[in-house]
Amino acid sequence: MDRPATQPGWGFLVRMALLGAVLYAATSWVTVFATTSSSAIAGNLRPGVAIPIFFGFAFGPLVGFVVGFGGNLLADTLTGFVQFPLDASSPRALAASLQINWQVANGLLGLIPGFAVLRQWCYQTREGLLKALALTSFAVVGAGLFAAVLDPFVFVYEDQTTIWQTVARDNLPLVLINWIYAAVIVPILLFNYAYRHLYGPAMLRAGLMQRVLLTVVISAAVPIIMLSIFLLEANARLNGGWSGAFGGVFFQLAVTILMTTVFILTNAALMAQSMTRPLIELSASARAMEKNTLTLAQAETLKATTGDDEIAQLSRVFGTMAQEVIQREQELRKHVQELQIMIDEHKRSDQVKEIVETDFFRDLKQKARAMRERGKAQPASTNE
Amino acid sequence: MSKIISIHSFRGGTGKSNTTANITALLAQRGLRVGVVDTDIQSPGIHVLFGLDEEHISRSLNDYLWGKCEIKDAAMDVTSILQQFKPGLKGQVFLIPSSIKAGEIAKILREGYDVGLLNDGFQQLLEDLQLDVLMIDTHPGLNEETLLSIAISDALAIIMRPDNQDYQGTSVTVEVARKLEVPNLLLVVNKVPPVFDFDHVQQKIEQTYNCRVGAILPHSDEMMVLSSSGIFVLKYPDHPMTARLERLASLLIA
Repeated sequence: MDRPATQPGWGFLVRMALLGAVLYAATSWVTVFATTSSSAIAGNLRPGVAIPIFFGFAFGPLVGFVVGFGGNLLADTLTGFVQFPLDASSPRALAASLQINWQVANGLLGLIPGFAVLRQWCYQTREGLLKALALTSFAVVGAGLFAAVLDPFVFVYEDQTTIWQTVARDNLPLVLINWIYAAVIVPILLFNYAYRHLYGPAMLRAGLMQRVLLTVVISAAVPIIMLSIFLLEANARLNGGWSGAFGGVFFQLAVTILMTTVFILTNAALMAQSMTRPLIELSASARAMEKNTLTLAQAETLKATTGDDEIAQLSRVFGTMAQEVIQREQELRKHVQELQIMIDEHKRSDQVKEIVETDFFRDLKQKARAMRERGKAQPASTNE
Repeated sequence: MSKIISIHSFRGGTGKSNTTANITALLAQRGLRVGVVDTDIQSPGIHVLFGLDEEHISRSLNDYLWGKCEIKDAAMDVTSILQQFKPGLKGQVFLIPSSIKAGEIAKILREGYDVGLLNDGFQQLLEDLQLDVLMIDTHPGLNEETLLSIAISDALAIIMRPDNQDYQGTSVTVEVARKLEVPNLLLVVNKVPPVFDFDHVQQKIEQTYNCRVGAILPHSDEMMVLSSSGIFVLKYPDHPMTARLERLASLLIA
């Protein structure tokens, strides 16, 4: 459940690739304003860089590559960095007008993480997420270097600076900042993706869920709101007072705030579910156990819960306990024997005779009868 | 109209004293005046369930049988012990214990006693203490004195366990009790392992002994842990076992 399906259909993969490419293009287009001041080339800062990386982890190298390559190509077309019809006068010209090294570099962003699919890492655990982080870093740095190193070959620079100067001056800051985006966002996406079997609208009615959701939203919303107000106000001030409120970097700020808020809310909902759903299911299992309706299969599912945290541990322990109890009961019931009573009839009648054929008994019986008839008259105390 | 109810069994350890104490408590809860006589002179035990020990017991059944006192002098009002659990208890409970002093036990076994005196004592108790019910906690096995208790009883509960050591002897006891024409004869199967099908057990026992089953009492961990330090039905009023004992009490007093 926290790993991609072993053999997803091709149709599914194609749909995911298209979805990813569109998402990447959209987010990149929206943040196109974000550039490092020193880059002479068309590189910009993109939170969206997490998308091809995530799609690579989730759906494999091929989908990742298409998302990165195609998404970037689409974004470049939208922003005008790539214009059709292309200049096909020479291979180099074609490459330059297509900005091919950048397209491939973005493809690499998706391709490299895609190989994690072969290793089937578990993104519910810290270990899995750290491995994903390492691979993400490798992908970001690798893609950035790839594009930078090939740049002088694809494009013609007016000043013949060396490759390494290009790399150091223009690309390193870019790579660093995009790496920060990727390092923060990709693990979150993977974590939420790993718990996707837990999501569902009905969960939002559970009390625990609502509390957690509220906690996360408030903790994130308050700083965002305050920061946003400050930034918008600073922006207005820099543009000469409130009349210039919509000038300057207002559009960029608004977009950033909006994207951040959407991200927070979505994340809050998903993380709240991943935390509370196991607890809510555990509580339902406990109730079932109380009513003796918990099945062995359900207990075994609980026992097999994956995850590092205490909730997962609790589910596993509970599953183990429940399994033991249910199994023991089943064993006992198997051994229920029919009650076997063997009475030796002869022996019995002999023993009875021994008692009743005594004077004492005959006497007693008479007196008892008399007593009952007279209603508790006392038999004489003449027994020895 | 007062009733004499005897609780008997062929072998020891079947749960006679516990059952007697619990039925007593349940009847007292219905507002009745109940007397309990521990006739197991050899190994008295029911006093423990009522929280009594040597210090508390001044006069015992032994003293009466030796002619040292009237039987009502040996009766102790133990209602307060029940009222600890049920403050508003309307009934009353009187316990006539057997002596727990080793010397006295040895003496009475050595010298014997007049069994008829025992019976006189029972009737005396009913009168003097104005009892609605007299519970007789007999000692196991068939002898003169247990036969007498059975003979004068209006109701008799024979307790057995689903154990091979009990089956043969219990069949003899049931047969003898029938010959003594006990009006209300019931079998109680105690300490039944929970894995048995209780309905099946009841059927089998009723068939085998041709006698009505008053209660099937499951083996209970709580009962074991309580270990006769108190009366189960008072401590666990909502336990299913208590419900079973209630039904038995109703059958005995009918």
